[in-house]
Amino acid sequence: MNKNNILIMFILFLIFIFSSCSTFKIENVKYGWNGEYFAEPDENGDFTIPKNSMKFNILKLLEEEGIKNKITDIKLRIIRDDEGYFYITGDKFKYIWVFKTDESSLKLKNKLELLKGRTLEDPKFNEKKPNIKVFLKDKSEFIINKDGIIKSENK
Amino acid sequence: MSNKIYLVVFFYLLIPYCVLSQKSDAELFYDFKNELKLIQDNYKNYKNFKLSNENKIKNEFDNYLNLIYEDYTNSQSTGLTNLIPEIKNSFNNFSQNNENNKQLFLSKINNFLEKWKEGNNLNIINKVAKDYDFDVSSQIDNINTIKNEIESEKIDNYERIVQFLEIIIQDKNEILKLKNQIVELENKIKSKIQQNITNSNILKDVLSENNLRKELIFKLISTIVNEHKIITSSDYAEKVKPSPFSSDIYILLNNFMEDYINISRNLSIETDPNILTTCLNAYNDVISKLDSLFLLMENSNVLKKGEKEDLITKSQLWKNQIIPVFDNVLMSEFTSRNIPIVFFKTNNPEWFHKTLTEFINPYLNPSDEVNTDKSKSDEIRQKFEDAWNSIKEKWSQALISSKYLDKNKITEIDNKLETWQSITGGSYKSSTIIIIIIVLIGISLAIYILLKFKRKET
Repeated sequence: MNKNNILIMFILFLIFIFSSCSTFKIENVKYGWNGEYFAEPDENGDFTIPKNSMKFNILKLLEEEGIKNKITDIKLRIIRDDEGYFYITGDKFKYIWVFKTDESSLKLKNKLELLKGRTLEDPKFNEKKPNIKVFLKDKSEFIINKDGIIKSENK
Repeated sequence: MSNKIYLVVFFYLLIPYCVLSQKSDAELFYDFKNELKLIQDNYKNYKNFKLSNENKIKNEFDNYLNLIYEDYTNSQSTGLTNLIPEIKNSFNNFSQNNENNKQLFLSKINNFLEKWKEGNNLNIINKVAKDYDFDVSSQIDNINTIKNEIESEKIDNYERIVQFLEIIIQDKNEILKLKNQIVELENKIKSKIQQNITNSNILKDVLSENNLRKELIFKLISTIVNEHKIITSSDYAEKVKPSPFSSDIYILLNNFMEDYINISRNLSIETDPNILTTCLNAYNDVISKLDSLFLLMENSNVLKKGEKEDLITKSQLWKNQIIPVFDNVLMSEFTSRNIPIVFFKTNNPEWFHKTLTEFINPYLNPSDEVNTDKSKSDEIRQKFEDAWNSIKEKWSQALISSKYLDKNKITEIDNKLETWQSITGGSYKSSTIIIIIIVLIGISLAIYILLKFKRKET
């Protein structure tokens, strides 16, 4: 057996190994919610979303936002897009926080600053498939996705 | 003043903040859920309000009834007439409150349905509702059902209750008048009884007064019993109290029967048939009226426990006093004529019919040994017919009212007597005709012989 034959055999072996290891996938899953969820976290900073049976702590997020209000007075708003990314914000937040789910964690994907250097006044989410719509108290509207602002409409 | 201006300005600024603040789809959905819950709570409140109003009406009705009954003790009171407008006003308020409550709730339902009718809002909440497996349309259907239920509810104007109370107030005067008349008659009759009534004219007066007393007592009973019926039929009398006159009824009836028992002691077979008939009619009338009224009287608490039994015992004593006199009078009609009749006397009034038929029937059978001697049979028949005609003339009414005989049975006896007469009287007639024929033949033979004898002589 010459060297070339051994190489061909090795390459075929590798192809076999890789093909047998490829992951099984269900595609086109739509994670999107039809509406946002809003509520106040408890005194420990735990935020529970009953409709998803999901719970996480937002103390770290508030620290990042520099918000020092009483935790239970902060109304958090959360929505999920079709790709499964979570968008979190709240009154007087600087950013819309975009997270991706990971093993027992939410991994930051992006943080969107809608108004440069200004906090958001009473921001709210609506679904705007395949994107997310954010609107503020002054009726400004933004169409966003995980990567950034798609459209901004100041009224 | 300046504070007020600040307040106005503050609220003015607040209005756009509250009203114009745009809501997210989820917030709209929560609004729907909250408003739905509010309507459902309002429905419970509406029902509770109605229930509590019904209870208030029951209490109010009871209070007015007490007020009227308490006023019975004060015969001079004129307060009850003035009470009628207050009663009307009070129940009108209840009705108005119910109507207002209904309209208020209906307007809330209509606002809710208008807000969430087919259109943009409904599409949004339907969309968000999917996140929560929430069926919006079935909830709206439920609210429509509630709306239909409330709309079809008829608000009672409580006119009937007001009418009942008015009747009861009017009854008061009638009842007081009746009671006074009865007591007055009672005293009058008692004093005459104590004087030992032997004079038939005085006895007739007493019986006539007693008859009036009886009618008034039963009028009083029926007024009180009807009053109770009206109250119970109102559905608002929680626990119907007996009329304040209920306790008097037993005493009045008891005294009446007691007096009649005393009067009956003076009766004998020599008593004027009219007097005895009046006494019998009074007894029969009281018994039949009490029979039909006992249940109603007990239901309306006119009679307390044991009082009915007392009255039955008393009526039995009355019966024992009067019925034997009547029986003796009837039997004397036969015995005084020496009619060999056997009396099948029992406590059942039908004994008299049995006695008559058992006596007549053998005479109607031509082969019976009693018919061997037709002239004797006819003699007995004539006596019996005399007695029977005398009984019919004097006691027909008493016989019927005491259930001894009815009209059919009287006719039946009359028919039997006719048959009896045809049997005995028939033989008498035929023999008479034969005798007359023989006499006529004899006379014509005698004339013939005489005429023949004269011809020979010439």
